Amino acid sequence: MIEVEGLRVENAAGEPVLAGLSLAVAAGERVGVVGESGAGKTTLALALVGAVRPGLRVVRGVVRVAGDDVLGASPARRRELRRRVLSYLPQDPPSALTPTMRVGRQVREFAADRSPAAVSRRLVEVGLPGDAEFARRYPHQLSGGQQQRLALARLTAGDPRGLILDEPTTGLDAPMRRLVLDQLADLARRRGLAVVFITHDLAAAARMTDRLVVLRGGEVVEQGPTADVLGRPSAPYTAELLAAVPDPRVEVDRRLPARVPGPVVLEVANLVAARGGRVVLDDVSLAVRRGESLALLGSSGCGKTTLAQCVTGVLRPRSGQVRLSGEVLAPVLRGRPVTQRRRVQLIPQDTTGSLNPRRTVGAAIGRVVRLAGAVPVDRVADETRRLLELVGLPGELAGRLPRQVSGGQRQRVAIARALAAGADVLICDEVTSNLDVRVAASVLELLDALRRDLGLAVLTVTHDLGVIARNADRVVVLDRGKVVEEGPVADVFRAPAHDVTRALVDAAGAVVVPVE
Amino acid sequence: MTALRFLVRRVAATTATLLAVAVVLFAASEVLPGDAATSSLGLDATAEDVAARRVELGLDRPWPVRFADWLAGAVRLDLGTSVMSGEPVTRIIAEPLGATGLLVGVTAAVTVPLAVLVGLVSGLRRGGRADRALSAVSVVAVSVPQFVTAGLLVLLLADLVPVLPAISLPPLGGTPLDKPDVLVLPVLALTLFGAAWAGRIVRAAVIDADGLPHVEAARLAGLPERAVVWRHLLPATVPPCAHAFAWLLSGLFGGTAVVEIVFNYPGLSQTLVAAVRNHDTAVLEGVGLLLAAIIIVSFVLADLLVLLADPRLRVAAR
Repeated sequence: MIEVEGLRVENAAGEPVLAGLSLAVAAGERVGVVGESGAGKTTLALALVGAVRPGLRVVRGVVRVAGDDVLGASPARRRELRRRVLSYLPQDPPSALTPTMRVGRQVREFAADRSPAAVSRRLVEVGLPGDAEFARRYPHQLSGGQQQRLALARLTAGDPRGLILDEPTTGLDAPMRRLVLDQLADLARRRGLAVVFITHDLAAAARMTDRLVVLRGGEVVEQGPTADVLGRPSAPYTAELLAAVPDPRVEVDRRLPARVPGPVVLEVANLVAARGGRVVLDDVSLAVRRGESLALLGSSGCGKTTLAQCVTGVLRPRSGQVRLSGEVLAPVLRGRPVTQRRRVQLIPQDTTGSLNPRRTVGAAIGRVVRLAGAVPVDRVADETRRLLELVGLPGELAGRLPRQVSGGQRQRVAIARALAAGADVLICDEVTSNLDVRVAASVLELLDALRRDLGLAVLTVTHDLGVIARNADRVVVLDRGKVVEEGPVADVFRAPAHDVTRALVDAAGAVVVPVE
Repeated sequence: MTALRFLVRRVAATTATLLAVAVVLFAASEVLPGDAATSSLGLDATAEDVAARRVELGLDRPWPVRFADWLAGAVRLDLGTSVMSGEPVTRIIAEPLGATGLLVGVTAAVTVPLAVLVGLVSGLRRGGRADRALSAVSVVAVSVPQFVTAGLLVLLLADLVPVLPAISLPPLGGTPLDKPDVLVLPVLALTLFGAAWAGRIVRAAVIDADGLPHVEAARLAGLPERAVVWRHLLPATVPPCAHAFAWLLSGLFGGTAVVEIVFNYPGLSQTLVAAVRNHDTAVLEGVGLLLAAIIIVSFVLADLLVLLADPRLRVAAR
């Protein structure tokens, strides 16, 4: 059904994004395309529907869908192919929903049969309520999972014969991700759809596909039945990718034994916080010791981020206290003296947004070094260099702008900046969720090493059990604003006591090689 | 529900703003040298005449009393009496307001669709030939002073090719509607500027909206371009454009002076200019208050339009 022959796509500089790629997908077949960012996955996905990102151009090669040359087709024919033959579900489907259109209209514009009954059937098919009230809602009135399914219902309303799924589960927590994937698989099976599943998540690919194509630098490194590729990888790169995926249950055994914990540095006592009148943190208490890494686990909306905001002083809690080495911190940042502010530093999820795009990496760190005042002004440059080297970056990187360094390097810069302030408490908010597995693994390793060497207290906020298994000594599980379980990581993962924990552990991303 | 609550709050805020405007207007006419008594009597008046006139007009009372008096009248839509003509201000303003309202209305009816069209064409095909041509024309249309544009239009369409009247005086005792061709040149002059200026704003909004993920997704899903533009792209341009249009059109009520004078059109701006010249404080204050009200109401309408266009804001506006 889909045939790609020798497709070469170049960027403006003439460097290949896809280097002579060939690929075939039969009707009803489910093919996974895996690789890290920059491998050309999305470029390939877009080419399958005849689209090329601005700045890129197709140099040679053909893409045939149902016998038609998509890249050379007339605009009208290409639209027809996109709607009726091979549809593209974009990255981050929720943001692809037009905010000003009601649910019913979103589906109706793709459906051949536009009656309310038919639209309702389409909604029910993807697991959404089919009643009239639901059809009148706007996208922002739906949950993340519902938005996801609505985006899918839009496409399937056109009755295509194949779907391209481009990282369809980014931004969802593990149980939700699993639910969405199961539904996608179910839908594809019932309708006999061909599926091209683009992902960096090997565990998801293992569940979803019959055949796997491993992409690196625009070239196919390895392809074959999913079970073979994951079970007996022939290319070293595939093996490397597989090794980088953390299996929480294996990982906890691999860890170094925890050191004798030091005194309590950060303490949260009976914290209650509300957002828009709704209580999101209900009487939460926890403590992090010197040299210890405590993980805060929970699905989206459980109050993890709110807790981090209360600790950093961004959000004023309703009641309760945050204590730093026994001193009570003022509820808001402005009320805290500089010495306290310096000691508690946040490493954000989105480093692109937290680094000034017009200031070089070195200037960003140097500024904090200067403000911290720990070294004389004439030694700021040396200190910046030392910090960069401390986080495993070459000193020359200081002269680059944030956009000129990779995502993993940016995350390291963020860590260096936190250390520049003289932090002894690091709050890591989903620090690796935007990174590829191998890069994420190296950042986590760095954080672990720094914690041991410098005796930092680390509070890791995440919904990713792999991160916790690698980096945390103890874990606190939050559900709907309450602490439901707490204990050493190994104990909690091996024998989860609470249903919420069990669901999270079961859904965690171990690569399960399918058995034929 | 939320829209209603928003409206109530905005009306309250509007009233407060108008009160502030009233204070400023009143204070301004207090501070200016001379008053209605001196200007209505002319240069020959003696100090006794002026004093007597001031008593007659009530100008000898302390200012808070006069302000309260004026404000109480304004609330009942009674803006006082002009000392020059002895007529109630509301009656003096009514006719020019109608004329200007008509002028602005017709201009809006032409400008808004034209600006949207210009913005869409140049925004969707940015960098193309049409975009470059329209951009060049827009820059000229915005930067040439209005009296030059107006003069050129008269020269072209009334003098060289005499198809339209050069002077836009409506027939005596009638309205401009009785002789619609008098409207063409003033509307043309105002539209040239308005459509060019607003077209740039729409163009920028279209370019921003064109990059949104949901617009790209609609294209990648194979929707026809017309559906993509109408259903997915245009609604996203409403919030940035609504206020630009409100600003442009409400500004026209008090800002058409040049065009009105060139074409001798009997509108609000002419009345305003005359009132300033004659030191006719009652008319000045009345027109000022009216213009402020028009501008504020336009912006509230624009806010409502934005609220209508974006369901997410209806939640946020709470």
